[in-house]
Amino acid sequence: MAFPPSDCVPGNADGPSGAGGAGVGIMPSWAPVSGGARAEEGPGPHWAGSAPGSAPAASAPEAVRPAAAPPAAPSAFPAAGQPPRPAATQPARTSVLGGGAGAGAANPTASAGVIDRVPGAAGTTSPAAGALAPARPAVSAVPTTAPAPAVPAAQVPAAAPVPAPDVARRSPQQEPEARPAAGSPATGRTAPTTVKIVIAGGFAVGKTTFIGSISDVEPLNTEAAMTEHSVGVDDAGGVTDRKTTTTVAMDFGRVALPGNLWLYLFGTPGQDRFLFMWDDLVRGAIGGVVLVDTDRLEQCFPAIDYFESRGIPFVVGVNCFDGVAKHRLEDVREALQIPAGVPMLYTDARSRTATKQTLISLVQLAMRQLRSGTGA
Amino acid sequence: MSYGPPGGHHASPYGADADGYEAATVRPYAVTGGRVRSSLSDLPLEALVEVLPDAVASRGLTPEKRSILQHAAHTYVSIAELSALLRLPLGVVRILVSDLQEAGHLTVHTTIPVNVHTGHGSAHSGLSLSVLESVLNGISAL
Repeated sequence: MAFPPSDCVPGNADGPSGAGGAGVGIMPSWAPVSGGARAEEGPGPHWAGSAPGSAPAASAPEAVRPAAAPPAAPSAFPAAGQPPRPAATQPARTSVLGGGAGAGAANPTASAGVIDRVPGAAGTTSPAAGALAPARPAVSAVPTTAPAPAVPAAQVPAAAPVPAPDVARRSPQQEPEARPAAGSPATGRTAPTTVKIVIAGGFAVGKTTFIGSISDVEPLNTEAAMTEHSVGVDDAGGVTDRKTTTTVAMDFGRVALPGNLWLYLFGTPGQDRFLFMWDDLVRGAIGGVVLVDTDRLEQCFPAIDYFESRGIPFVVGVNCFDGVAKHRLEDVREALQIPAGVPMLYTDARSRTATKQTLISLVQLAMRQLRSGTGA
Repeated sequence: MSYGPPGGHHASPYGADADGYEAATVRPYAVTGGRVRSSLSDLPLEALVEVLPDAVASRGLTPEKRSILQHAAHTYVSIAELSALLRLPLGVVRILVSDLQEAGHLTVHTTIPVNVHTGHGSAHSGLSLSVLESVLNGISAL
């Protein structure tokens, strides 16, 4: 139901992904998208309309066919997000913000406990109940000795002051108890499983935007070098008004996924001289996304070479600046000499939906490769 | 820029207001005591740091280490995040974290065993199919 798995059959990779990108291209960036319903609204037309004549890759016949027949895919993905996926899908909605399924479950019970005890306390000491209900004016006059400040109906001097603060004290006490369980994983005793995906591509191709469009947090960056020597050394690709004394090594973002999973997205350093860092970045990664700017094709060569030579699963996302596809995917594939097994798709770094789709196709690729037991 | 002793170095330069590394006064090699490698194996960027309860008595630590403990006090924080938050190079954070780990102030959670070789004949992630499946479903559900 979400996006049709775009690249189910490697050979057809271009078609469906074109369709996926098509619905997405004109969406406002960062739009909150639930499920794929919206993505399906206008597949072909927008795309074709936005780039008349220049984007035949997404033309209707080719695009529709594979989307309609995802069952051809490896058995594991009938359609992402449907019932057959058991454990992981279920807590999906509940725990996106929290620490996972356990936390989500703990919360209701904790709050139930609060509710349970408050009436209990009130029941044993009826005055408390009376204090909450409209007071009986007759009784309130009797013991003037009771301070009875805020509560109008302090009836029995001994009992009334006790339960009222007691209730008051208890509920705030319980709330912090419940909150850490849901919010702060540090007390939950189970560390999230971390996975990562590497986002590669040339300088200023949209890696940070791509990461930012899906990350829970503003993309952060680390700094690798702190010398002035990089001035004039780094190929800024025309973007020269950068900081000169520090060099941003890489950007990254984080997405909390259901099932106590944290997905990190690491953008590779755009500068060539940071290639040595890639080994570090890639170690243990699910795979890579190579973002391509068709105006500067050559910039993605190092990334493609790198992933290819190391047998790391990767997909190529042609970033459509301004939502316009300037070239057909086949042409880009040929120009870059990307092997047929590597899925290619249009993407839009600003669109959360397109970003999602790109990541999905990568994970699917990684799973295919894992199943078949082969690298690249 | 001043080369004051680490002890007199206040933690605030690591805040977002410090807009250049030069402003952070202390050179990376000073922070690590001249080391360029941690004694343990290199921690993955996404390894999560968790502060142990008894780390409260963290007296006598350098400002950088205290800062790490502070940032990781209430939630899991990755090496990469610490590097970004403290504005310290990754290598430095790795060394400091493994120092703190050795001192028993924190534990490090890594998903992927270091030096994993799955026998798949490639530089494989070492992730299991079920993890990948969860990731896939998770992304789809976003």
